[in-house]
Amino acid sequence: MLSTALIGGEYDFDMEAIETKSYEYSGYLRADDRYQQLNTESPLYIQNSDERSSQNYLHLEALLNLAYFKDIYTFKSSFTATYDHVNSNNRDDLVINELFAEAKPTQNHMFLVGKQSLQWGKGYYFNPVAFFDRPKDPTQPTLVREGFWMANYGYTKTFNNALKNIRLDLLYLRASSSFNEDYYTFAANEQTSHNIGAKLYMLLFDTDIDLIYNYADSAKDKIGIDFSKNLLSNFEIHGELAKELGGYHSYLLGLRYLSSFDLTLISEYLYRSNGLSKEEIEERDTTLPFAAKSYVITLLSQKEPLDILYFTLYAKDMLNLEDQSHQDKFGFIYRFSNNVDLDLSYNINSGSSLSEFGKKMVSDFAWVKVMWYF
Amino acid sequence: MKTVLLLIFTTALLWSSQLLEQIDRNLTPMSAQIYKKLINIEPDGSKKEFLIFQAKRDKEKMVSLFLAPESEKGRATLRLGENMWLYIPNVGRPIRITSMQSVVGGVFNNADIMRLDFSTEYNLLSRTDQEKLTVLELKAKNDTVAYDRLVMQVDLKSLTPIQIECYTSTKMLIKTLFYKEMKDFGDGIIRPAVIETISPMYKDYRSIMIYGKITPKSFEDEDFTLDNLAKASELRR
Repeated sequence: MLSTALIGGEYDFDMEAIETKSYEYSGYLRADDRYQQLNTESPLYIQNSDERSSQNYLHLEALLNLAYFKDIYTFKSSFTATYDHVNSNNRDDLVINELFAEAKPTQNHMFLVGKQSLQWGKGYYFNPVAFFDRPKDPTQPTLVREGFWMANYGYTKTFNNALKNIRLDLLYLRASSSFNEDYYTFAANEQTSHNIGAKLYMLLFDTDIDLIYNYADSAKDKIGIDFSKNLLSNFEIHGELAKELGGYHSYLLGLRYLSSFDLTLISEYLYRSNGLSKEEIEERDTTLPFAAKSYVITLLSQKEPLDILYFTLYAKDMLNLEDQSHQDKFGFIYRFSNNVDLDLSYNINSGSSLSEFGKKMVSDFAWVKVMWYF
Repeated sequence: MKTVLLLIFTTALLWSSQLLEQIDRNLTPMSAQIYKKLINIEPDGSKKEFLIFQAKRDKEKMVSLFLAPESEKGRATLRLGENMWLYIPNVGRPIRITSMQSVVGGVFNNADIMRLDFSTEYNLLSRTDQEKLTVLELKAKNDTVAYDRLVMQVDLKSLTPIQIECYTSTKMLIKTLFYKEMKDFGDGIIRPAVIETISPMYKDYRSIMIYGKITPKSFEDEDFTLDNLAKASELRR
């Protein structure tokens, strides 16, 4: 029986909801609390002459993404506001993650100027080839990262053979003490510099491949390559290799496996030649997070155990291979139907008293995170 | 004799692919934009709804973009033949996913949401005509296809599915899809507007897919690339 309208009720479709607008927005409000047990043998704890055994760390965050579309132009912005409170200390911050204008005169060509977060690389927790990105935090790899100011040209072309698609990106990034200051400090040897990046992406024999080159007039050039491929429909491997010409090298190998009952295993190994050795870690009271030569990070997550919809159990281990210290995390995520996600976990640092995780000021903590999306 | 057999075999092959292609074209044009809604209904009656935009080109290219709810807004998936990727806003690079998993939860999986043409993924093994319908048995062309076998009941008048049973290679029934509510979407597209599915693995759960709008539209090949996945909303304009 042919009908020109759906029967009312369960099969209703709101046509107003699919009208296109010239703008889009999205974001979230986030509230975290970490109840932390302090490690009274930690060098930092002893230095602070602390007498407490525990503390609460409150983190509030708001993210706002805005985009405006006009003909061939797109204007995009992303802002994050944060507030942190721990041990009577407060800190607030407002960061512009992205702010750029993009033009696509044809489907093949793209021009972009502004602040952009590139997010190059195939790794989940580390990205050795992300020469123009800020480092990821492996404890929160999905956090929004602030970009850098740059100019970017992109060219895309598709084919009908084993090479299905290519994309060439060319970037220019200038860094000085007052412009792209973090890049100036960490990647440009604190010298005013002109930096050029080139990335060639290929989808070749059903494999994602990137070839990357970074020219810098104040630092050594770098080259990089990454790949991602499904060996089986439920088994993916990926890797990255970065080399500073005349300097360090770093590589990452990872895999992702999905079982027939929705158990996901993600595991990555990272090595970097300029990372800290066990002895170097032991000599320091504190180190930058994840500064050692090698790590293995493994995540197991079970989606909808016992058929509980929108519920995921997970366990994560971050192992420092140099000193065998590690941080373990056990938790669950539940996605409510009103755009609220709840993430509750227990996290524990283990290792000798001089190891990276063993000497941290926090021995273990319960972490509750609530996010509301809009 | 060999020539005759070869002729019969070739004709059968052409006829079977033509029948499946006709069913495919009756469901969606070769290149189109589609708006649909997914509803997961739990045993206690509570619901979660997802609003999706899809852009389709040829037999193997598809982009899906979540428009609602807010927790999923901006998520996009790209399918290029056997390759499938998921992009989550703010997270970073698109990741490779499989057709058997589900980005929305519930009974529908990625293969159901981003279904390619039946003629692309399946061969027709047999056809059994009944009074007003015909029953087709389909076999997956390779291991990457979500379901190894389909048993499809097709309405002979409209040449659109009525019901599809999805089986594994061990002949286990995974789910049954019911096509309902014939609707004229315009541009000569007359097809079931509703697909309802039940699964023995999700007892008492139901999932419903409702097509709200199907419009023929030309897209460029470059619209279906990894770099454009983060900008999938531009395809709506």
